[in-house]
Amino acid sequence: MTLQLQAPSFAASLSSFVSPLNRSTRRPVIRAKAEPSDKSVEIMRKFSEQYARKSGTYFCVDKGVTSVVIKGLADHKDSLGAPLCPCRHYDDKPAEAGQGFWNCPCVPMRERKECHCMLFLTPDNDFAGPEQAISLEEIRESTANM
Amino acid sequence: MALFQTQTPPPIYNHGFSFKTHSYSPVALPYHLPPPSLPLSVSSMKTHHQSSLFSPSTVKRKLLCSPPHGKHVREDYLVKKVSAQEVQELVKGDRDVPIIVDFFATWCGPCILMAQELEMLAVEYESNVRIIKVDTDDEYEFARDMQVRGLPTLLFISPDSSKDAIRTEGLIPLQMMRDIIENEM
Repeated sequence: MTLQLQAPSFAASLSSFVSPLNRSTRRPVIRAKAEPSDKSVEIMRKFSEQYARKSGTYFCVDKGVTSVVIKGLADHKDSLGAPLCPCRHYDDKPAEAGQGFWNCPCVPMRERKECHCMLFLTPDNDFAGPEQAISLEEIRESTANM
Repeated sequence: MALFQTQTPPPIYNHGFSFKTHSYSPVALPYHLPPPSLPLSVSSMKTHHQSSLFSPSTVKRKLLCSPPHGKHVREDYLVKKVSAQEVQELVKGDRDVPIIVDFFATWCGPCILMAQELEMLAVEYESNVRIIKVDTDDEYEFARDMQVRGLPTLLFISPDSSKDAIRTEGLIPLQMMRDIIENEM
């Protein structure tokens, strides 16, 4: 699943090698975990802001948690086509994405405003902050060292 | 097997850790801390004050306090990421301390907070508790066999093999972890 994500970047880096000397000495590294695309991160960021406003929930005091979850959603959107909850382990990810229970916003969130990812927090939650917005810059900064 | 299920932290939870808005790595202490042998070299510098290699400022420096021993400087993280096989070997082998296994995923927000808490716990308990973490994206089959669902999931394994393991799901307070370790031991 993750390999197909790497395919475009793999091809891109190969095309940049001109001399045969480079090809033998430098080999592109295939990383186990890909960074989600900027487009998906932006889509999930906008979704998170909009859904927080709509549901009357707030982001975590620690925006790093929010950033990581948004990136996780973006990563699943890239690989599975649907933003599957990043804070769960699944036996069969594509099947779960198709089924939809854990697609963000998941059923527990929609029914009971329960988000165990700590992305959408009700105002009475100890970890809830005052904000319902997060910028792309904040996301980038918080996840820069990951 | 006792099962603690917490979705949101209880109101009595005391925020024991500080929220860092920018970096998530535990405090990475610099590697260039002066070695403990510095006081000796300073005193030896004083005897060779005529040597042109040493500037006057270094010769006359007084050591005000001894540098830290750097107990936790050598490694970046105290909680090590291990493979499924290593976990099984640890559990099957002789256990004299409780083992805490943290199942996490890269893009799981609460797992990062849990990792910070576990680092603090590792500093507190040092060698009295063995804390390890397993990446559920890497060790897919192991996580499936252990029926890990929500993340983070903690597995507290007692050194006493007759006792059942305790499993918690979600972010739990540091005090709850301490209570489990104390009651287990």
